[in-house]
Amino acid sequence: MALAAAQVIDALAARLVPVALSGGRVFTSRTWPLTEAELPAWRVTAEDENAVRQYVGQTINDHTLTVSCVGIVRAVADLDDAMHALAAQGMTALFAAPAPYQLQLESISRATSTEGEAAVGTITVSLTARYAVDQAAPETLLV
Amino acid sequence: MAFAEDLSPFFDVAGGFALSATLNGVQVQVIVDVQTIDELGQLVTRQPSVLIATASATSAAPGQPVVCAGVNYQVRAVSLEPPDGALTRIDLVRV
Repeated sequence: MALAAAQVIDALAARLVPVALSGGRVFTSRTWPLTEAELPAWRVTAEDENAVRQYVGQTINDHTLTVSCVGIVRAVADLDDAMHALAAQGMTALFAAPAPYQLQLESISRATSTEGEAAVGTITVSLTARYAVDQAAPETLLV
Repeated sequence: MAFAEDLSPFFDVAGGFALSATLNGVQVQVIVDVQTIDELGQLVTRQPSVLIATASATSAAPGQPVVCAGVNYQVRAVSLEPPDGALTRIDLVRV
């Protein structure tokens, strides 16, 4: 078992694996740069996580986890279109019913490289996931 | 009397100082520079460019095809090199 947040990340990453454009290339634990052969791809990582106690006297907290799903593409022409196409497929997969953990889209941001070959872009789909966890059992998701 | 420099020795293909390439279908001699860079903190990729005598690149423009050492590129940017613009750097993107 793993920390509840890690399980949430893995579950969301699993939803992105079938995305056609990224061909199963979904990374959750990779901190070093990708190579061109690994594009298009997704990086799914946990960002901030807040916990609020449900009831006084209990040890169960409501967690709100911010998740970044970063789509990375390389395109010599129409880079914008490539980024948007990847995001569209990714979001369709993430929010396919039933969407888990009260998944909510928070924002979509974009970045394109102007250095090097200027053919790389990232599109970040920021999400929040909500779930409950007993703080004495951090590896058990209570939904 | 102005100094007129002969740049041909720098682009001597037979002597191994440069490579033959085509720029928009025209045969030219270039010095190729390629380095690995990290883009957006996400990807290890390349930054290819060629150095060429400006006299051979007067009509170089973004979007034109370049073929060098069996690799197909497209011109991304054209800029004169200091101090006098006698050389031109052409930034490329692999296609």
